[in-house]
Amino acid sequence: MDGIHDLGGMDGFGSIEIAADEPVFHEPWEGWTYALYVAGMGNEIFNIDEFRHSIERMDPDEYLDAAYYERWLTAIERLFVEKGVLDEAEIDARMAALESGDASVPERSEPDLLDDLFEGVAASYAAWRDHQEPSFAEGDRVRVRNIHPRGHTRCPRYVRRAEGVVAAVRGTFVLPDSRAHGGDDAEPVYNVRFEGEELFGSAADAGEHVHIELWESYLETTDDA
Amino acid sequence: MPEDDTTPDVTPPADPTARARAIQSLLVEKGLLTTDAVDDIVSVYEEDLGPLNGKRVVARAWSDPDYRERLLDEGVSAIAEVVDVNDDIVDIEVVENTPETHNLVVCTLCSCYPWAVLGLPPTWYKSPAYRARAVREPRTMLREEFAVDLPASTDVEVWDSNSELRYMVLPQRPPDAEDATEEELVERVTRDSMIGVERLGEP
Repeated sequence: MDGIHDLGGMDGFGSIEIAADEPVFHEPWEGWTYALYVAGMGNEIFNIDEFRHSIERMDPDEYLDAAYYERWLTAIERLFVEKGVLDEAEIDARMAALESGDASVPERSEPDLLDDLFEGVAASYAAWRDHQEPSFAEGDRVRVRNIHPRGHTRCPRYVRRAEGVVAAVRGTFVLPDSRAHGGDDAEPVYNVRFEGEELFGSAADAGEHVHIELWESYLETTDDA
Repeated sequence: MPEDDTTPDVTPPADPTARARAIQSLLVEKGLLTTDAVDDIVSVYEEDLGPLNGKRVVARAWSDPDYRERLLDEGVSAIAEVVDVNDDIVDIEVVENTPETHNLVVCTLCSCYPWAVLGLPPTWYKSPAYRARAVREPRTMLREEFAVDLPASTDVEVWDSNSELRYMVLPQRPPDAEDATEEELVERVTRDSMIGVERLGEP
């Protein structure tokens, strides 16, 4: 989708704020949110592409206003609800019960759970699929198709319609556009190198290049190929 | 695919602490999580994973030319010789800085990062300002935001990490570290140099 998350090349965000020596998690809830993500991926309730797409579906204003882990928490909650694991009323009720002291986080022990969760996370990430014969080879000139899918894609706007050169053939990966929506289609993936000027015209300086992984269906041959 | 009417209207939480705790409580009750697992997960990311892994890989590459070749050719399998990584999950490609080439890593679409070697990313890496600008004007951004002033003769290669293949920069060995041992070299590597927003070698 042509969403707010697709930030490459945009202007107007100002200077980059760099904090020295920041902690991994600034507040306890950020770490808990990370653990909720591990629970969702680790129990294979959602996969990495569904997770990314859930973040992308945030209201654009809210996406920009939210802190990083607020986006995560929003996306995780949405997926647990969509997948039927939790419902909103249940979450609201539990919040109220925890607040009033009528409930606490239950104690439950399961020593093997952590290893099981990390195995599940690996499965929910794993992108490699059986080999498919690639249509393009290293050195081929390619053009990115002018595609605007409504769903999830890893083809950002700033490379569409641009021409570049295949720098490497990476193998066969699951197609995020498919796995974010319940499928498991796979395609050859290429590292494509673009001249800065091809992407950003005179805004690019000389000697700037961008590399990005592009799935076969994102690409087409150029007129002079 | 268009969304259907059943898509819940979830908005960012007004009180993330209470929201995260409520969801955690429900998941524990449903057998999907334990409080011990939450503590362990937080501890793995706070204590075990971090840029020290990447620093050890770089120090080995600076010390052992054969290893350096393997690292640049094979990526994650060479990384696994030095540090504990699960190469079932992510693949990592290592790109080398030279006097002629400077490499920079970004994820414009979200926040993909080689966490197996660098830990979780700093906030600035995940910020819209960095994600927007790194692909469009890397040379100017490095100069204005990170005090890295590249000569015109040094090309910039930006790596937009949009797949499960992640990138790590192999910085140049600092010119004053000729006699350093591998252990001493570990201390000379910085996280930022492995992202590409700091340059250790000349020029």
